[in-house]
Order: sequence, then structure tokens, then C-alpha cells
Amino acid sequence: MKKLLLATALIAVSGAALAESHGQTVRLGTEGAYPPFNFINDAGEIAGFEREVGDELCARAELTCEWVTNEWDSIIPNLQSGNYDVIIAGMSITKERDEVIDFSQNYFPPAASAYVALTADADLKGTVSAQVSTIQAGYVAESGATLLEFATPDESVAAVRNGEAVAVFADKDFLAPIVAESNGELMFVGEPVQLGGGVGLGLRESDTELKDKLNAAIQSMKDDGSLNALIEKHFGPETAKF
Amino acid sequence: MFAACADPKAIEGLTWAACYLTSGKHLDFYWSFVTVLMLLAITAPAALAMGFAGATAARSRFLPLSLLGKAYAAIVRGVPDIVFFLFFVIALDQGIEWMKHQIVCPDWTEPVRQGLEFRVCPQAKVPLGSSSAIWHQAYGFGLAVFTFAIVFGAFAANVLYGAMSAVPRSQLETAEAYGMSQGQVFRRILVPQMWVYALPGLSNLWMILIKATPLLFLLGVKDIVYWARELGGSKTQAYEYPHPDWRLWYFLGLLVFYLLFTKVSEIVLARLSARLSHGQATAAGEAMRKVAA
Amino acid sequence: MPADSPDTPVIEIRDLHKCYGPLEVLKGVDLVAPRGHVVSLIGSSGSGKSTLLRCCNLLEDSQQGEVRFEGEAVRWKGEGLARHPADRAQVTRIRTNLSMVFQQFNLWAHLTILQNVMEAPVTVLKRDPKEVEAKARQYLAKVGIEDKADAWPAQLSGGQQQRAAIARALCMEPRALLFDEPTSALDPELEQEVVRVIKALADEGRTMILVTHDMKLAADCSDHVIFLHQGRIEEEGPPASLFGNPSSDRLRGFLSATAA
Repeated sequence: MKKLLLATALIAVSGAALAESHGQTVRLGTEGAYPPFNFINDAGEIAGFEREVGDELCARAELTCEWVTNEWDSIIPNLQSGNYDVIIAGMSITKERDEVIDFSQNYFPPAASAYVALTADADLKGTVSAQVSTIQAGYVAESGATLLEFATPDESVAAVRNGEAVAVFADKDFLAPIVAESNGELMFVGEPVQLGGGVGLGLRESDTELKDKLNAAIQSMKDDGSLNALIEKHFGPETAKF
Repeated sequence: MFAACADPKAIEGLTWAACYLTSGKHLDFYWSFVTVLMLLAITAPAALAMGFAGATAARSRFLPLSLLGKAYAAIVRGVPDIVFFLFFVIALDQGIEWMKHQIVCPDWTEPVRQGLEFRVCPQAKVPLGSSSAIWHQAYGFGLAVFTFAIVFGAFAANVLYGAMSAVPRSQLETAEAYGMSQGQVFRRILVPQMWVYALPGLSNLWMILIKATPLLFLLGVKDIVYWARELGGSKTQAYEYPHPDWRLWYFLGLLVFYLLFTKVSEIVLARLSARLSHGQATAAGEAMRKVAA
Repeated sequence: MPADSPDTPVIEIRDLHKCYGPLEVLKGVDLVAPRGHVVSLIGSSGSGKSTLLRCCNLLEDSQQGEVRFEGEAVRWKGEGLARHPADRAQVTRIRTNLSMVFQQFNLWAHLTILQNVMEAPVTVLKRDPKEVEAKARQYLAKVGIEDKADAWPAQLSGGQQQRAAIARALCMEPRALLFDEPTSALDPELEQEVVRVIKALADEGRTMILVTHDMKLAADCSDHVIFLHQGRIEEEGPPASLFGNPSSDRLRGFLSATAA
């Protein structure tokens, strides 16, 4: 037992020394406009589910982390050109994205996407808004509806309110609080749709070492239930968990 | 900010508004006005300098220099701004890092380009991955100033080139007849006289520059339009100060800001124009002569 | 003849040819302006008189022939249409010693009258600005517009502008003054104030070359008159004989046309 303690202590020390000698800061890139996944809180700081997950993952992987925000539109090119090292921005794991970047294992289970409209009889084959370059935008385009794309998720909802679009199609977990707080103005329409392989961290394909570290950290959060606790804290008790 | 703001969801009315408007996010918003004004204050002279260099080069009798000046103005003006701001900045950023990489990591064996990825050694990142956020912001701001200066410099070069050609040949010939060298003619006669011809074009550019500042966000600098959109968007209970879609009010605020700013610019430019045109053989100068006579 | 001899002409031009592309505007012209003399160039427009004047201070290149300033020949490089003065310093020396007054005055529009007069002595001759200012005011007084020193060119009448331009020429303290149709752009009532100044300068014994269409001015103040026709000297001589007893038909025709 003593030996084991010593060994772990040694590993911890050498791990710390390794981190020290590398002195590497991992930069986490997020959008900052997708509550409750990530948003800029009123103090002007990045907050939300992913902020807490990211900080915890960095602590577990013994990485020094720093947060940056980047527009959704150019979030993948800027990862590739090295402006940050990890995308942590509610990004669903899809085949198309996996061809250009790598994903960690998911830290948020495959979740339902849903339509929200002003009336229950909204025509979902009419004009439907979604955020640009999202898994939902791709789905709407294929559904035969007229796709209306917006740079931010908030604008895609506003488009329904002001009548530009009949419905918005987005993550159900993003829409749920908006619907709940709309005083009955907005409502879910149609059946939720399961899209993608959950939400994962986006990494450069060449960064295998970092990917392994983060995968291990995610696994440990799944194993000890801390990830589920964070999901429940930010998305409510009814959300799917691991 | 204030002690009363500790629990925003418990306060109402004026206190709520005071707390809301002084939240950290709003302070960032106010600070972004300073950022935009600073960008203008630095970019305008920088663009003018680029334009002056471009116009002077285009007028050069040395053919390669003249072609360089003309190509600069033609190419940069021809490329859509948004393309320029998206691709040029990435290329510039990567170019800087690539050069630094060649110097600080000569032993690096992995290829810098791996498919779509751009990987230089960690020591060659600009700024270093480990440097604090303020340096990243300053670097982004620097890239923004440089890009704006190049884009607007090309337009300024065209305006100044035209203005230089608009100075009457007889004014320059007279200077030559009195023994001035080409350099003296340029400095003493051509440059002082061209401003009055350049001013209408330059004031247009200034107005466009003011309106182009939202392009800053493409360069990763958070400008006033970004913050107005971010603050104005509807906020759920996840936020401390939930509110419906208030973007209209924020954008109205921006509208007032931009209108005031352009109005002040117009007044200043009109005064400048009046000062510059005193003796010159332009319509304004002619009007002045008639008043005096 | 040594350069410092009082007999050396200020300007001497021999067999000058000048083309604009295929058009030959000067076809072998001689011109001598001795010190203290006034030489007038007359002729119809297109006769080449202004071009000849501009060849004196090298504002125009010429293809053939010689230009001498105080006995010193202009050095050339190149041949034919590619012939240019070879020595920048020599060009500057000649130009600063031959001050030109233009038909359209050409006061520098961005400078006040006083600054116009001071500009070249200070910038080109590197004279002390204080001394130049004193001189400039003196010359402005001489032409009668000392009160306009701080005005802008555009605020003055044509006659006042031309007198300012003459003050500017005088302030260079040149060896000769070159006048290129100095009264042509002026209304008749303004013309006289400039004519008076030019006559006064001629009476002082200044060396001047005067291109003019004003026959009375040429007759009154010239020592020598040259009548140019289509790039050639048709007739020349003292004003009394040239105007009183013209020998060529062309000059007679020209004089009767201008008198009408």
C-alpha cells in the first residue's frame, strides 16, 4: 500500500514536472453564444456547461488551459491554423467534420434536435431557420424545407419570433429554456430528431497526444459520475445522461 | 460592480437597470468603443501613409516601382473586402509564424503543412501559446490595423495619385523654371497643393472606414457591433440578467453613435477643406476670390 | 570672350532646332541678349517665339544648336529627340539666373504673395529667410503691391498677380528676366499697370527677353526686335527700323494686322 502511494506520488510529481518542462498552454476555443453549452455571462466571462467541463478536464489532464472565443463560422479553420488547440463549442460529432478534424469521445450524449414554432400547425416543410454550418442546418436542407441560415443561434430563434421563418431547428437542450421562458409564445412542434454522435471536443488530426489525454479525462469524468452531475446542473434532470 | 448588484434576480427597476448597465459585459461593450476609436486613430494615418507611398511609387519614373505602386492599388481595390479580411489575415498570420519558425526552430523535421493543418513549432507561435490573453488581443488588434491600413491604403493611393495628377502642370513647371529639383518640386509644390484635390476622396474613405469597423470581428477583435448583438440577444435564466430580444435598442444606440461620429467628421472635414482651398485655383478658391472682390 | 567680360552676352543661341515629334517649330534660330539690353520676340502665334524663350532657360529641350549662358555652353547628352542637358547643376545655375514671368502668372496657389516671392530664393538659393523677406517686401513695394503681401494669389486681380510674379522674378536677383506674353491674359485696363512696371525695369538697364504681342511695348522698351515666322527669323533689327521701315512683306502684313 505504501509502495503504491509512493508510486502515484512519483507519477504525479513527474507528471507535474513534465507539464512544467513543456510549459504548454492549451487554448480552448468556443463560440460564447450557445447557452447553456457556452455563453458570455454578464461579467463578460465565458460560462456554461462547457466552461465547467473544460476546466475540469484540464485539471484532470494536468493542462494549463486558456479560453478564447471565435465566431462559429470560422471555428474549424482557426483550429487548423493553430489559433487554439481544442474546439469546445457544442459541436456534434459528424462524419463530414471528422474528415477534416479529429473528435474526442463525446462528453454530451447524442441529443435530440427539435423544431420550435409560434403555432402547433406550423409547416415544417416551409421556411425553417438554423445556425449556419450546423448538423441541424444540414438536416433541414435535406428535409426539403427552405433553409434560412443565421450566424448565431440566437438570431435563428429571433427569425421565428419576427416571422422570417416558420420554425427553427436546433438542439432541443438549447431550445428548451427559451421555450420555457417565452410565456407560451413559442412551442415545440413535431417529433424530436436524433442527430449525430453526441458532442465532442474538436482537435487537429495531428494532435494525438493531446487527444489521448483529454479522452482519458473525459472517461474519468464519466466513470465517477461528475460529468452526469454537470449535465443535470445545466440541462435539468430530464436530459439524457451517460 | 456595486454591492446592491450581488443578487441581480432579486432587484428591480432602476437598481436593476443600473446594475445591468454596469455589468462586466457592458463594461466590455463600452471599452469596445475605445477600441474602435483607437483603431480609427491608428489606421487612418497608417492608411494615408500607405496610400502616399503607393501613389508616389505609381508616379515614379522607375518602371518596376511604378508598376508595383499601380499593382498594389489595382489588386487590393479589386479584391472584395471580406475575402481580404478572411484570407489575407490568415495568410499574414501564418506567414509571420512560418518565418519565425525558420529562425527559432531550424531542427524541426515535421512538415509545417499537414493537409489542412498549419503546424509550426510551439516556440514559433505568435504570440506564444503561453502568453497572456492581453498579448493575443494586442496581436489581433495589430493584425487588424495592418490589414485595414493595406486595404484603405490602396484606395487612398488611388485618390492621392489622382490628386497629384490634378495639380496643374503650370504650377510645377514654374517651380522648375525657378531652379527647383524634382524632389523640391514634389515636396514644396506638388504635395502641398494636392491635398485640396484629395480631400473629397479622402473624406469619403474616412466615412467608409468608420463604417467598416465591424469587420474587426472577422479579425477576432470584439467591436461594438459584436457586443451590441451579443448583449441585445434574448437572455434565458442561465444569465444573471435575463431579458427578451433587445437588439433593436442596442442597434439604435449604435446608430446614434455612428451618426454623431460621421456628423462630427463632416464638420471637421469641411473646415479642413475651407482652410486648404484658400488660394487655390479650385471652385472654392474662386468663390473666395469673388467674395474678396 | 572670357565669361566675366562685360561684352559677353547673357544669353547666346546659335542655330537652334526644335521639334515636337514630326513638327519642326524652330528651324535654326540665333538670338543674342547682351548685358543691359532688352530683346523682344514678336510674331504670330505658332511662330515659335514662346518656344524660343523657353529654350533659353532649358524648360524645352532642343535637338540641334547651341545655348550659351554668359559664355558657358550648355552640355548635352544624347542626340536628336533624345538630346537633354547633361548637367543638372548647370541647368539649376542657368534657371536661377534667368527668372521667368508667365502669361498666366502661375503664382503658387498654396502660398501667400510674400511666400511666393520668398520661395525660390530660400528653397533653391538657400538664402537666409530674414534677408529674403526684407528683399521680397522691397520688390513688392517696387511693383506697388506691398499691402498684398499676406493675401492669397486667388484674392488678387490679374494685374496684381502679374506684378507679384514680377516681384518673384526680381527677388531671385537674376542676370536676365524672361517675359512670356506678360500682358496677354490681362484686361486692357489692367494691362497698363504691368506695362509700366516692365518699362521701368527696362529703364533700369536690366537684361530682358520679352515675348509679346504688344507692339507698342516692344517698340518703346526694346533695343532689338526679332520677328519670327514659322520657326525662322524673318527680320530683326532696332525697333525704329523694324517698325518704321519693315523690309519683308510678311512683317509688313503682320504689323498692319496687329495695328488694326
